[in-house]
Amino acid sequence: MKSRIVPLLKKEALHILRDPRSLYLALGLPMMLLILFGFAITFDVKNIPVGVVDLDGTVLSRDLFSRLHASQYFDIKFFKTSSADVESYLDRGEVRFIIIIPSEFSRDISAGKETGLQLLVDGSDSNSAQVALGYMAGLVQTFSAKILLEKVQRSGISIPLHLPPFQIEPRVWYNPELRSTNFIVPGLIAVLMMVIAAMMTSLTVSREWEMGTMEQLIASPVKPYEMIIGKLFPYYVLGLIQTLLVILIGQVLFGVPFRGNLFFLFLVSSLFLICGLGIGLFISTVSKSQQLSFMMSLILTLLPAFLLSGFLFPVASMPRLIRIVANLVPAKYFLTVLRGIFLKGTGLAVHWQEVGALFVFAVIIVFACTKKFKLSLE
Amino acid sequence: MLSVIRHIIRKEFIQTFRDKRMLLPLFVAPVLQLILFGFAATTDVKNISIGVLDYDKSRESRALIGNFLNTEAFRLDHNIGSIEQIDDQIQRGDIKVAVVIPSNFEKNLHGGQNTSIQIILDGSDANSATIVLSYIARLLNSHSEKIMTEVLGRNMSGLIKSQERIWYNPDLKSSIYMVPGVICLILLITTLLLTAMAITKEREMGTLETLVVSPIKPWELIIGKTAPFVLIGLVDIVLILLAGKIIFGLPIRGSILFLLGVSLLFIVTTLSIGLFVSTISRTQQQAMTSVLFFLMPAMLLSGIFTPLESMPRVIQHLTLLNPLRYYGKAVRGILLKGNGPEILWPEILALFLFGLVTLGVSSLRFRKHLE
Repeated sequence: MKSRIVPLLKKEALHILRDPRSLYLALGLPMMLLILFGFAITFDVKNIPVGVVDLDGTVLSRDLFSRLHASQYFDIKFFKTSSADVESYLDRGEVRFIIIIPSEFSRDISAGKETGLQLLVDGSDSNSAQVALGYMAGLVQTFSAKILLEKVQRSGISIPLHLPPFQIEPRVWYNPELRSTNFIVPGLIAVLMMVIAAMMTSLTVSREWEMGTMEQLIASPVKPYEMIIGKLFPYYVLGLIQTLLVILIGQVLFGVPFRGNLFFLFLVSSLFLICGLGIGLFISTVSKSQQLSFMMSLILTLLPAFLLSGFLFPVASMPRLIRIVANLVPAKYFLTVLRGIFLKGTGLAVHWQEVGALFVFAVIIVFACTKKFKLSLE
Repeated sequence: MLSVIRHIIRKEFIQTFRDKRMLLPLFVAPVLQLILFGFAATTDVKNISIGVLDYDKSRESRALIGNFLNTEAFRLDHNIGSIEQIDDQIQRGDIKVAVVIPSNFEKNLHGGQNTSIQIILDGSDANSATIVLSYIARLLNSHSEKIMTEVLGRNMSGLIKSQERIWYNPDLKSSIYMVPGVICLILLITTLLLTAMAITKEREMGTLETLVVSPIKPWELIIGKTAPFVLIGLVDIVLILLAGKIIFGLPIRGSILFLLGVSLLFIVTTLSIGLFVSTISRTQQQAMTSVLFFLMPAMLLSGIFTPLESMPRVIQHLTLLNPLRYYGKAVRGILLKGNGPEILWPEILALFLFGLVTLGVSSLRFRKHLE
């Protein structure tokens, strides 16, 4: 029996090696994505293009302008003293918002009246707009507190209040600088494993169906489980190599910490790979055409791994129905464990629930595969 | 000549839809993707589990905590008694944030003394931690403003308020922002990937040779093979627009005809790239691999999902070579802002040039390849 698996293994490994492009995919894609995410993709909002219209033209309004200018969050694209035709900048998307300082700005402030800055905001990119408004609100608050403090000092009244009343002291654990590579790298492992495991296996098996070579294999004395192992094992190894590669690059290039246990990582990764390989195999036995397999694995594995796992977007903030669906995505559990292992150094004691869920997934998918595979053999 | 093309188109249609299950990825998947992106790809702060450790237990500290209760952003589900408990619960991921109020908070506040509130964050998800932190900062800042006005009285305050007028997407719903992005994504996948795989399939099966020896001219073959996917792509756009309008209330401010026209221009580029991929691939697996290599950076560096201006300068210049960048801007501009050609002409020009160059290069390669 053993001797029958080995030739199958050899054949599949040869397939992978003979076509170096799938190897590039397996080994090059992680590097490309890591570098892209590490250097180019940030969810930080910086250099927000803004425009300023100063209708006031006083020392105070110029003070506000210089604060905007000095802030690293804003990149001032234009400065005008009249509000004529400024809307067209928003239409063309050249600025994200326009700050209009009203003509009575300085007068109202000296009179102790509440005064309003007008913000014209391009809300189409809602996420960036929200963050940008947050920065703007912070800047205005500091400015307003400073004016207040000066006024109180000038008036000479002693007030029973420290300005500002209290300070906020943020402490960030596990990732003190909030570097996004630190949370991208563990997440990327989950996404990439899904690509390798589900996509590539679904393609190789459906290729056998498409080429008609599956019938030959069926007619041979190879047993279904031998065939499954022979087909899947090379991709399993590839997946593990990829994980090691990502850890290595993450550490060398980006200094991502690895605080947990490597053996535990290997264990959980294996469990997750079995899920991914199983899903890929299942898709291919159902679809039997490469085009369909590819589209299905894109929809059933890659997209959920990207969107519903918490890789980029927090699951807790999603609507209830989507949260329920997210519970059916193995990548979600794997990702939680990965972040724990990398950044918190946690182990099985903390993550037994996630590991349990992955185990259940693996059992179900392997069972479904053998069932379906036997059926399609007959 | 035209009838030759028509026959190939018919053949391609029959081949694509002979497998009824193909309808699923072609028409159901776009809508599914739309729903996923619209609902899931959100960086809004909602339902974040927060723990509060109140050493002070005073009126002021409770007033402060009240700020976290009256919003749907936070879920206060753990009453915490000690700092060790915070440690434990953050490690297990039960809470993402903890607020620690020191024991003499009220006394210091009323005594005019400096006091501070500690915010402990789980930074392992740096993305949402940043957003949560800025959200909390805003919440506490306005609380501190309230205290100031209470103590100083109205006439002393002279506070500056910002009045925000938000255009195009007044509720700042991220789904409205995502729908145009999904259109770009679906169009890219259906046209680029499916053409690359369809042509490579003929080669893998050995039927391309049969077609070559037939009297069909290469350009007829190209049009015939790609036209069905152009049509599918356009149908998908309309489908997504419809679903986006019904499910998310997407505003359609510009002309749909103009949108379809710009899309056609973009499709010329994607089809040409698909054709190019087919000339460098022998198997469908290879074609898929090559497409992924193009697709991933093109998507990530397009400004569709993350703002371009936050990227490093060098990368920003690099994105000028990405056709998706122009198409993404055009789709958003047409749908959300009602932009017309008078504003989008630079994008149209760029897409036209991309189409010209890629079509030229890939059809040359394809012809040489056939010979």
